[in-house]
This record gives sequence, structure tokens and C-alpha cells, in this order.
Amino acid sequence: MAQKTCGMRAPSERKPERTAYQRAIKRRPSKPKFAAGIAPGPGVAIRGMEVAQTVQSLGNDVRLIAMKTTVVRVYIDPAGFADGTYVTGELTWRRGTAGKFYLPAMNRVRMRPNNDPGLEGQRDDLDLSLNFRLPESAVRTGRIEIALNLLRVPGGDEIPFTPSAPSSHTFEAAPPLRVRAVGLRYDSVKNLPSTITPNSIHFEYLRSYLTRAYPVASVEFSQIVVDGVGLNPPTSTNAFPQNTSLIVNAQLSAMRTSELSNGFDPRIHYYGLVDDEGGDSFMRGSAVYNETTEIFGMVSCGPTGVPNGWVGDTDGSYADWYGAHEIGHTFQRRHPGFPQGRQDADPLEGGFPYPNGQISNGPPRYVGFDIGDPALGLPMRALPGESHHDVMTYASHQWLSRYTYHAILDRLIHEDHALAPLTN
Amino acid sequence: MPNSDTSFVHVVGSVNTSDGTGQFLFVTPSKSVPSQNASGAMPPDAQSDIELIIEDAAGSLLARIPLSILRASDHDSSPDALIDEMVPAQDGMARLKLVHKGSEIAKYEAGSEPIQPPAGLALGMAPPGSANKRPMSLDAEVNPEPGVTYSIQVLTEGERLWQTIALGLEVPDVTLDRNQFPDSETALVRIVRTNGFTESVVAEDTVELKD
Repeated sequence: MAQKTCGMRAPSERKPERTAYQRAIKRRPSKPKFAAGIAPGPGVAIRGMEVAQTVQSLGNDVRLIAMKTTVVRVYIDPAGFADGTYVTGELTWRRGTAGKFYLPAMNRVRMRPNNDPGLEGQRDDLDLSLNFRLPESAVRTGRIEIALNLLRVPGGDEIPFTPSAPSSHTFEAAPPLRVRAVGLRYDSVKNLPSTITPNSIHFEYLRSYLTRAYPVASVEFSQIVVDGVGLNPPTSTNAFPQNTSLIVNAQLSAMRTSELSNGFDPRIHYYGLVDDEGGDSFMRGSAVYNETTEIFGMVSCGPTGVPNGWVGDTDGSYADWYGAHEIGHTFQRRHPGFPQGRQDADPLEGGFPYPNGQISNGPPRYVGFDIGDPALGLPMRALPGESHHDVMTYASHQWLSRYTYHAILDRLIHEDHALAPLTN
Repeated sequence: MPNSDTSFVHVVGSVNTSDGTGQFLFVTPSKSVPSQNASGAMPPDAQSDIELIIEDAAGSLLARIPLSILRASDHDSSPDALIDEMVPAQDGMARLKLVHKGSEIAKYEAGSEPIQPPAGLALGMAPPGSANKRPMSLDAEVNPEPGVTYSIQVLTEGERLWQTIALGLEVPDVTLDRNQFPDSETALVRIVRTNGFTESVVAEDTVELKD
């Protein structure tokens, strides 16, 4: 018998101390309840799968760029699930007849059979698709096969589903986008004494948007700030004189010639940014256009500032879509004429296929995809085709339609060869 | 006389096709022809309301070049336009004239050749509140001269290409903002003088960018 000491129990006789942790002991998560009500037979139906980079259709007819961030979106029919069941999954991908890689989903999807938005509703909401981010090794140039491998309740049982044949997708090589962003300083006349310079946020938004939205895997982006030549801000209005963007483009052209003479790559598109001084000094942007040869030049410019909801933009800068529009001109893109009454259609733009400047018509119906940018607080999201408009319009919520995306890609490929620096 | 290593003269100007006014904005020698500069080559029989006339010092015609009109893409029906042309450098060229519908609207006289020896760079103190910006100029007195402009070029350490941070200056005074060149503790800076058709480096020096 253990000797007692001063009324204390011997160690072997002491009851274990109860701590809050022990009181709440649950060393393993509960086994999740299997989704009751799963229909027997062949199992869950898969409504579709699309491989998204910037914009895509269910038929996957938008060209895929090698090494560009890519997400496979899988749409599951919620019929037969108990309402609120979470589903995740795994897909496989492979090249040729090689072995398969297994890839888990980025997310889980909540099945709402009583509130089914349908396939197109699922496409419009990233939370309603099962999303798989392909690794770099999967998006190299060439062909891959993708197949949904399994569905399961997260941490629980597998869910039978109706399998379909693997789908094949080709990733094509694309040149980088080469942009030199030139911020142009000017002396304020309304807020003396101050020099107005575009802040870094505008350069970053522009670079990010071009990387996410343009048909490229990478953007070779350089930037500099210089004094604007002939930039005379307005004194009594809030807009620079109408010809100001021409004067800026003249400076950019001279600067480009100087730098090309010193070895800069002729494939670089120059874009000038002029801060709008909080809305007090707005310069309308433009690219230069040769009416005789019907060719746009390699320089363009635009204003920048905080959008405050302008054309639906509520983030930190409108330099992104505005710059993408003007740079789009330098890739020979023209105005399609939307919104009617606000933008005249370029008579040489006869091919824009979507109503109201949207990025989609139907069928097939296109949905935009924005991979987002965590560094700028921009979430990954789906962009419904009817509420988003092509970047070459003057409409709201601008993104790239398949039409503009493919045209810029073809032009990039052309320029990569046609304007390549001469080598001795 | 054009430099032996300059093949072209880049001419940029503004015109108003409604009231027939215009001016030369930048006239600089170039060693290369950047493609797709929107000017393109006008067809030989092209008609244009705007012409560039090249003369020698005596006023003899060296060339008459029809120019493309360059409009702003997003400014419908504006009469403002640019001309942007790469002109083959010609022996003896001394004067450019911009002609609209037969009337001279602007004239450019080539500036003088540099006669002083190369100078050094003078870097001033940063103004209060702008520790990263330092005024820079030649350490020799420079007065504006008709037809003469300066550009400032920077080559940061580890890079191989000169960036142009200023051009078209009447005097070579510029504020060097070291925050434009992060990651560089030093940079080569050069001042290039041009009379429109020829150019020469009039100063080149290493500048400290660190604290």
C-alpha cells in the first residue's frame, strides 16, 4: 500500500486531472454521414466539363494556351442528393498512352437539388462547379486527356457516377505579351504645388489583368515614370484637351524609337498612363491609327485612377481594363459599336458575333473565367457571359470574348515572327 | 550630316486637318526602323493632304514625302492627328517642312553640331521631402538652341539596354528618381545631344543610387 503523505493521495491513487481539452475529447472527426438518397443504378450524372483559362464554352472551343493557369470545371447534377450534401472529387490526366496523374479538387460543392440553377446557372458560379487546378506539367504544349475519376463526400464514401469517355485537350504555345508601361508625370494646376504621378497600384492592376485576361501565359512587363512632354492639365474643366492622348502617343513613339535604337525588342507594345488626379484631370485614351494603311501602331495611352464603380468597376484601379482596351487596339482590334449610342462601330469591324457587346451569345454560350490575383485581393470567379462585355466595347464589366481572345492570340503569334529583332 | 551609324530620321508632329495648323514635336536620328509604327510606307502614287519636304541648307529640295494621317482610335471625327514617319537620312539634309494642302504649316531647322568637348554630369542635392530625387544636368552651362534637343538615357547595373527617361529637352536638366531603378546601386547615365539629324553623347558618367 502506497504511503500517504500529508493527506495527499499517492500518485497511483489520484484520479487524472480533468482539463478542458480532455473534457471535450474527440480525437477523430465523426465519420460523415453518407449522402442519403443517392439514386441507385448508374449513379450521379455529370452535366459537363470545361477547361477554363479566360473564357470557355461547354464544347471547349476556346484555344488553350500552354503554361497558362488552367482550371477544369466539372458540373454535377444535384438530383438524387440529400439537400446540403457536400461533394468533392478527383480527376485524372495523362499524355499519350502514359500513366495517369491523379488530381484532387480545389473545393467541395454543396448539392441543392431543391434549388437547382441548372447547368448554365452552375457555370455562372464558381462555387457550383467542382474545380481542379491543373499543375504546370499538365499544361505544357501538347495534348492531354482528362477524366473525372471519382466523386466522394469529403472524408466519406465514394459516390457512384455515370462515367464518360476521357476528353482530349490541346495546349498550344503562345508568345509572351511584351508591354512597357510608361507613367507620365505632370504638374498639377489645381492642387499646387504637386506633381501628379500614377501610383504603383495602377501598374500592378494593368499587369495583372493582362496576365489573367489576354491569351498569354506570361507578360514581359517593364515600367518607368517620366515627365510628360506637353501635358497641360485642365484649369477650368476636369478633362485634358481632346488631343492630349495624341501628344502623349507622340512622346511614346519617340521614346520607343530611341529605345529600339538601343536594342529594345520591337515587339514591345508601349502604353502610357496618365493619372486622373482624383477625377480632376481626365485624359481620354487612344491608340494611333493609320487611316491609309488601316493599321494601328504599337503605342497607346490612357488615363488611370480609382474607378468608384465606373462601368461596374469597384476595385482599386481602372488602369486594367482601360489599358487592355487601348492595348487591344495595338493588336488591331476595333470598336464593335456597343453600347449603341455610346460607341460607334468601326466600319472595318464586321465580325463581332455577340449581342450588346457581350462576351457570349448562345448557343454555344461562353462564360468568362478570372483566375484572380491574391496579391491584389482579386478572387477567382466565373464571369457570366451576358453580364460581361468585350474589352473593346465601352460597356460595363469588361473581359475578353472568344472573338477578341483568338484575334489577339493570332496577332501575337504573327508579331512574334514578323517583328522579331534582327540577329547578325 | 547624318552620322554614319544613323540611317533614318524619326519625325513626329501634330496636325489639325481642319484648320491646317501643325508643329514638329520630335525630330531625332534613329539607327533602326521599328516596324508597325503605324506610319507604314505610303504607296508611291498615294495622295495625301500632308507632305514632308526635306531641303538642304541652300533650300534645294531633297525629297517630298506624302505622309499618312494618324488618328486617335477613340476620338471619333476629331480633326487632330499625328504624323509619324521614319525618313531615310539624306546627305545634306538641313531643313524639314510640313505642308498641308500645299501650304507650309511648320518648319524645322536642324540645330548646330556640337562644338564643345564632352562635359561631365552634375548631380545636385535632393530637395527636402524627396530624398529619392536628385536634379541632374551637365556641369557646363547650356542655353537652349533652335533645333537642338537632349535626351537622357540610363543603363542600370546588370542590364544591357539603355532606357530613355527623357527626350526632347531644350536643356539637359532632369530629375533622376532612383526609385525608378530599384535594385540598382549605381547606374550609367548619359546625355545625348541631337540637332534632329545627328546625335552625340555629350556626357556619360556613373551615378550613385544608394543612400
